[in-house]
Amino acid sequence: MMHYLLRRSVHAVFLLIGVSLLAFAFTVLAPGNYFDEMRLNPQITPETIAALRAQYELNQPLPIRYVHWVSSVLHGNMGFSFAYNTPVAPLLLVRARNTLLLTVTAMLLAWGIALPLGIWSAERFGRLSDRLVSWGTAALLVIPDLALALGLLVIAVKMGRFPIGGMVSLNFENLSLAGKLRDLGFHMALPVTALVLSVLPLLVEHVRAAVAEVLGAPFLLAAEGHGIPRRTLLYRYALPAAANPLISLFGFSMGTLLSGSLLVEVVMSWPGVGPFLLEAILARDIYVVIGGVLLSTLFLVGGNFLADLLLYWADPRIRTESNA
Amino acid sequence: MRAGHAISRWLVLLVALHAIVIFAGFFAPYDPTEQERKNPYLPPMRLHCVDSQGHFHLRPFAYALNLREGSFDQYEEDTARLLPVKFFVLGANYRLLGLVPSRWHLFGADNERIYLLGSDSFGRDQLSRFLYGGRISLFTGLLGAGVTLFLGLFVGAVAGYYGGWRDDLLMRLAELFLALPWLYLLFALRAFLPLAVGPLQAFFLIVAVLGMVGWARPARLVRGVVLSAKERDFVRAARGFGATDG
Amino acid sequence: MVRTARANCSSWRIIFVLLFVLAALFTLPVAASPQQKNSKEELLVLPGEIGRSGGRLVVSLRAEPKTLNPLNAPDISSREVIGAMQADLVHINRATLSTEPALAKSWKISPDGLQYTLVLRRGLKFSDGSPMDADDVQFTFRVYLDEKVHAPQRALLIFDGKPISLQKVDSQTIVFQVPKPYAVAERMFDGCAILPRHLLEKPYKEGKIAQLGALTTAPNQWAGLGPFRLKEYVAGQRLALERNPYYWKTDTKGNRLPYLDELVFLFVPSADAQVLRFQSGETDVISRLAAENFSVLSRQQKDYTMVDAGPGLEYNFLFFNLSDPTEKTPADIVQRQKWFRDVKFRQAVSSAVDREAIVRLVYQGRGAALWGLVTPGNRRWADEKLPHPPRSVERARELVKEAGFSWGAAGNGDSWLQDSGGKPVEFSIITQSSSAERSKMAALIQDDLKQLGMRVQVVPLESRSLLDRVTETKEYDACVLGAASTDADPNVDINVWLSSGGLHLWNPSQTHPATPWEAEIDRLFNAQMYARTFEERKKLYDRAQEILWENQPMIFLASPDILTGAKKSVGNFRPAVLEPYVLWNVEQLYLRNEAVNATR
Repeated sequence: MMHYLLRRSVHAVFLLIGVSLLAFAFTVLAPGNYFDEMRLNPQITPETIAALRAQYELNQPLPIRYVHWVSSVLHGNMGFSFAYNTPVAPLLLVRARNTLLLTVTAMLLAWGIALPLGIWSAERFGRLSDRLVSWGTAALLVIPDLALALGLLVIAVKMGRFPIGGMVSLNFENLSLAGKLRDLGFHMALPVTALVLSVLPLLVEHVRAAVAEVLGAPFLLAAEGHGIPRRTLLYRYALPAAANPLISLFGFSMGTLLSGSLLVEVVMSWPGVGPFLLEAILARDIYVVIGGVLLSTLFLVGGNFLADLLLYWADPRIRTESNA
Repeated sequence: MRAGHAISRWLVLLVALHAIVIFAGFFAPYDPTEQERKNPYLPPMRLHCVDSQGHFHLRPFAYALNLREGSFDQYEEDTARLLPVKFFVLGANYRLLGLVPSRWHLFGADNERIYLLGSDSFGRDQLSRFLYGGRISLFTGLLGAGVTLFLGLFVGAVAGYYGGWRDDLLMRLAELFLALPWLYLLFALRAFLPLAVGPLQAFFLIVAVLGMVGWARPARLVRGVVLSAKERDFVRAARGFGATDG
Repeated sequence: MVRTARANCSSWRIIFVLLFVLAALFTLPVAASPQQKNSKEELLVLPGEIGRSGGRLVVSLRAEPKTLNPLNAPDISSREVIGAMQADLVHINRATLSTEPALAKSWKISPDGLQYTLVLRRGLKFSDGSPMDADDVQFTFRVYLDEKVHAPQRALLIFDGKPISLQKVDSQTIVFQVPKPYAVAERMFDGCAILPRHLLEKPYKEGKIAQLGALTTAPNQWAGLGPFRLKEYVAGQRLALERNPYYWKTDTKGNRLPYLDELVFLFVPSADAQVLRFQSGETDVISRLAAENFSVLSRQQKDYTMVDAGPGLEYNFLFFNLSDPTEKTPADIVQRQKWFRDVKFRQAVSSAVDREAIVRLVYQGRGAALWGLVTPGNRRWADEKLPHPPRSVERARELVKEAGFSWGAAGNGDSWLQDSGGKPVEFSIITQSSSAERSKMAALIQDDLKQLGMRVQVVPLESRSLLDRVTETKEYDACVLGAASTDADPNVDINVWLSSGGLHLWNPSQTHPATPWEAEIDRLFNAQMYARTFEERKKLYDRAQEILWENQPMIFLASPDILTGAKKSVGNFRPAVLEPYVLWNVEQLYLRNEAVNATR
């Protein structure tokens, strides 16, 4: 086991290096740079732009910039943002925290709904209630995420009950602890709903399919014959047997924690990494982008790693293979 | 039985949908790029069979729309101007399947254009744009999904079945692909392509990009399943009977 | 040790002063006149509606501001925030577009036009309470002129390659020496925020001044002379400013401005979300509205004051690639440049473009058709003699025929334009995918030119990629773009007009003018910069506009109206056509009775 962990960590490091190298290469290949937009500002002379480019080392060869960047990462700065004129790490971390608050809540909720709903639906496979669930998820799947988010916003404006965006109210600092939580909850309601609704159909369908497949298996029929209660049967026997693809999916859910909520964040002006990175990408604030990519890679690696561990733990067949 | 029935019903629907967009030129009443600037932002025209006087018309018709005064996008029906729907009419040029030149359209109206789904900001027919656009979306989607699935199945199966260093390599590659800032690569790609890209080239480009970006997710899912399936009895049995990996 | 002691002392001082100011505010209606009361202070008295003090105004910004530092703020959001926190010596009034006294109560120009003597107001204080005098001014301009700082303001302070110089006469008086008599030299002071020497001199000497002003700066480490000062920044969410108690303006009743206690900028990254948040009452004013959203909000007139301030200074245009081909330029572009270089070809395109349709369909009528660079919003400088011919496809056909083009029949009965060599006229127009308006313009032009037999493909590109093609690689045929003058005076557009300018987009940064007419424009433009009277300048500038029209290197299309709105409760709401459209008079904005008490 120790050996496995070690091997995975070494892989993760190599992956991070690979991602950062490629991300660097991509940013150089992409046309334009941060200071281009200044060309449209009549007050800024080409000499100033050239001087700024030199100051930020944009003229340096790629290997040198990469080495400088790596040393900056090791110092905990993750490079320098052209736009904000400050190190990237603090900019990114504040926003990553906000994003995680949103996505972790949404993920827990989505899985919390999808598991029972999918199992319930699989148990009634082919019956009317199952088909209703299928249609429901299909309908949700068809609605584009953007329409979903905007629709929710419009409803919220009509109702006047929920805030239309942002994370906390202006008077947040003056609220009591309970008031703060309430305020935060109100602000999270819409984006969390949008996120849950957008991932739910996929999750429910996967759970439903996976559980439905094992329900017909002989060992379950035998178990049922032994008189094991339905509930225990479903959750103790069927679910673990069906867990394999779900665990991989869970790994993805973990991996997209940082990157999956971009659209919702932009539409609902949630102060997360989404709008921040989008702006940075379009403005060619490349170290911010690379920093963001690196951070989400960490999540991805972590998610997949967790999924593999879970697979190992949950699926005896894989365990035998690995030990062999 | 019932599941099979349902699947065939959906299949028919899908085929019909694809047929309509394949023959978009025929089903769309107008050229999707043709502008009618006096009619921007038209709402969808409703089809009627009974006119304002209560007379019944066998041939369905729509009312022409007039701009409400002092507005840019608010219209009202002009009950004096009827636009009867004609079937199999001659209209804008197009090429059926991109080959056969034709001017026949499923329906249309005399004198004025009929907008079943309304018009966009330049007075272009939304229905026609929808059908022509659907052609690209449906087929790039279909082909893109096909490529994605194929690549994903292949990589996932190899990784899951062989395990070991192949598994490690392929899965780390998948992670790499999931992690990269694709938008930048697309910007870069765009810069290297000629400015004006033909529709066919654009089509294959989209398919290629979809496949390239998308294979990593299904690959991981498939790998997990293969990992578990290969220890199942029937695979073992098959091995026992001398089946090989290839 | 010393520092902390001082900080403590100054915070106590602030509290005392605050108490004093509060007390003063309460007793003001009784007090006879503000001049008597503050005998040491020379405050600027602003005419206008008398407002009531207090309350919080919430504004949304499309992008997060990047810095508070006026030395390196190229983006709109940062400029908007800095505008509320800083002040300049002489200010351009956004409503009248003329200069007026600001920190300098008066200025005098010597008869030879080389010396500007500025006299500062007495009793000026930075927002942290420290006094401001001529030394701060000297320090400020030393920083702006320092090459190593890379301040954008530097370009404004250089005349013919020579920088301005300044001398302190006494603590209230500074003499600025310009190297050459210059038409409107006092306009250069607008945008040169006076920096607090007591805070910035040390970092400047250490070469770290450009790194200052991060949004996370502690409020007591930053100061300005504007109506508001830093209160709090929450990353990704908002920036809150509070009233500067030392601000140097009062209303006619002697109430010290600004009226508002707090000004909050919320970061709302999409235009639709901005509208929604305005509708839901979370923000009080909104600007840069698209025409569609403006008409939606206008239908709810009873809740909002919606103001169409008329055409602004933004001009949208189509231009062809007239740059000199290099060995890297693709052959097909070089081939097509032969058409573009023909003035008749460009005139034909200009004649075939339906500007009226652009205004109607892109701006829903809230805009103006454009035939020259100076928009109708700039009444003083627009050339009224410039021809405004309506669209004419016939005229366009004549022009291309004269240029040697002809029409060949295509297979399906249409006819396509071809050049004298029989090559069909096909080209692409690139445009910014981020701008829905410009993409629409390109689509309309595409259709207009189809009637001339030209086959045009519209290629939307993301902004940086587009700029890279236009200014660096020069790999494009034609482009639809827009720009906005930052001031009504022609001099701000110098880089567009001069052939050496970087914004001379059709052929940027030339070492020698490529054509005789560009050389003539260079001459006229330089002459107007140093002409002494308005009439003289106008004559020269008009001629430059006419030459631009005759040669059509830029085919001007349309200029959008500045569309803004505010809650009915916002007083003194008078949007201008110059940036910042809504907040230019932020010190006078106030919330009427009912709004002050309402809690949000």
